Amino acid sequence: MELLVKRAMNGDGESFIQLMETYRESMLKVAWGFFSNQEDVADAMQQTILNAYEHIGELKKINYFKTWLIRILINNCTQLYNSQKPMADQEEATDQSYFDTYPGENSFFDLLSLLERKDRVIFQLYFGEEYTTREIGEFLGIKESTVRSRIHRGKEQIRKQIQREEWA
Amino acid sequence: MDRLQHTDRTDDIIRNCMASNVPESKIVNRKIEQAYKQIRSMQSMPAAAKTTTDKMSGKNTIRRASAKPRRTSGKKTLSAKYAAAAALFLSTALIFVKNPALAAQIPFIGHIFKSLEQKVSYPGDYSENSVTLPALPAETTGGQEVQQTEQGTASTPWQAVAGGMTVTLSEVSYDSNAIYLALLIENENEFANNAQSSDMMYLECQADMYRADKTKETFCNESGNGLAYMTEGTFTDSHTFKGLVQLTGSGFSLSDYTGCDITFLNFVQELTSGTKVTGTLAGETETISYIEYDRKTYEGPWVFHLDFSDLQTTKQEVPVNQTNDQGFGIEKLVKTNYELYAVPIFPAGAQPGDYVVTIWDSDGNPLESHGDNLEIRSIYGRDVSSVTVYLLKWDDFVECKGNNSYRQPERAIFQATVDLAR
Repeated sequence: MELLVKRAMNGDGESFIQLMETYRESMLKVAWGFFSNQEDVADAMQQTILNAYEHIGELKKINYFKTWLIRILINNCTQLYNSQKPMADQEEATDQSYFDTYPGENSFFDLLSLLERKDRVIFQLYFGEEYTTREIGEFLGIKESTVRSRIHRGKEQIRKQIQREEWA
Repeated sequence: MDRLQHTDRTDDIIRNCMASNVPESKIVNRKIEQAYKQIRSMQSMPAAAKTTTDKMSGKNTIRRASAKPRRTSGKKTLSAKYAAAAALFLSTALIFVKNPALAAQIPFIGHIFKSLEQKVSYPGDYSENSVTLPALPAETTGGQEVQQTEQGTASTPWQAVAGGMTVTLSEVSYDSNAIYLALLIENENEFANNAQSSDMMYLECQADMYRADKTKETFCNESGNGLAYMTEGTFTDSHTFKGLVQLTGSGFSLSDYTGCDITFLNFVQELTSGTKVTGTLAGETETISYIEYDRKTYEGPWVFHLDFSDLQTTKQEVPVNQTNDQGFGIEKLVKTNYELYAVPIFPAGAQPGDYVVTIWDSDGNPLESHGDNLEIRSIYGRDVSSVTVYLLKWDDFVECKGNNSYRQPERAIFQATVDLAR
């Protein structure tokens, strides 16, 4: 992988594309943590791939390529999300606004739909990508303690939902 | 610990859900393919420009490819006139030789490794193993410790001057597959104050490596086998940069050589300023524009000769010679001053490129790669008295690296714990 990154840093587009394919699924899941519609996920992915290619020469540590890539993706998702914020805030104002409708039946989407919108990306980064709470805090610009409490709260929501389904 | 330790059934359910693939989306796939197409188009652009469709701002911008500098056309080749500059003879035996005269003259000299060794992307205790460069014997320079080059006068034998810039080689450290240099770069004029990076400069470097039989092998960017392309460090003021350079490459082994000429052809700062250029992508009709970032290039050459014919790099080899039923295994572990790597054993027909060896320290944490080579591990700050080696299929490794490294033991096709303290 390091060789691919090095080649990409030297301007090899095919190596860069190979890297994007390697991390495609991880990137998609992070993007779905922000959005519940395909158009926004598609825009965030496209923007991130182009931004990463544009700036790969600035990557300091080859080993941190994935982290660097995810950071760009989160920045783009945050920017896009904030540009839609008035609409999002309106949705949040209604009860259970976070029960989004995702495209297609899928356990990944099922889980996301149980979580509050702002907790979804945290869950994906923590459980899906195995980042630490400290790293997630740095990614999202929030305190580590906030990340921990959101994970705890989100897990409680999911635990209750599981119990409800089992008792039903 | 910043990962929460509590694990229960809910965690397992969450992890299982998170591990399931998201459904394919034509819309997403199309956007990704558009990005790839754009990248491939940019590859064919003469100016190597890159484009960005900025959806958020609703405009298209194209920027210059990478921060890494490109060779300018018509670059001077190394000629005989610089051979004089290469006459710096640096006896680099295993003894540590200090030079108080120079150290007093330039306060950084002799301490650059110490100040930067933990901050670079290839951390190591270079200061503990460095060779502080000795003064030339008086007869070597005709009684004068003066280095005369075409473009300037250096006051000590390990300084080179060109274009008003003095490069001082402060310390050197060797490992079996790398040379580490500590440089002090002093510029009569100011360095650019609008550089994109404040902790590195790009460089172009040619290394002529000499074998015992006097034959020479040249490593340079132009041949695609360059050993270094940047110096990492810090600007101590507007005229001074101190930095480290790691010279290494795939298959590069210092024991193959007895000495080398290291020629720094130039140092480059990429700036935040630039010029807007308008053009059309190959195969596209849309007119696009991009920023051609300015670069400030400091032309050399600065040449240094290193003689390591007497060098004995410390290397510990521990035989393992174990395989599994399929014939996969480990032949031996090799530990140097800064690195540790394993030599794997493969059954007939297996492609070594399809497998990766990882090594975990005595505390059960994976060692990070040292520099660019994936399978050479850094031992800096780690307890490697006993290590565990895992041989993984490449595809499994990709899924089990970084924060997912904890999965390596269960996915390894071979593993062995090796005592290195003996």
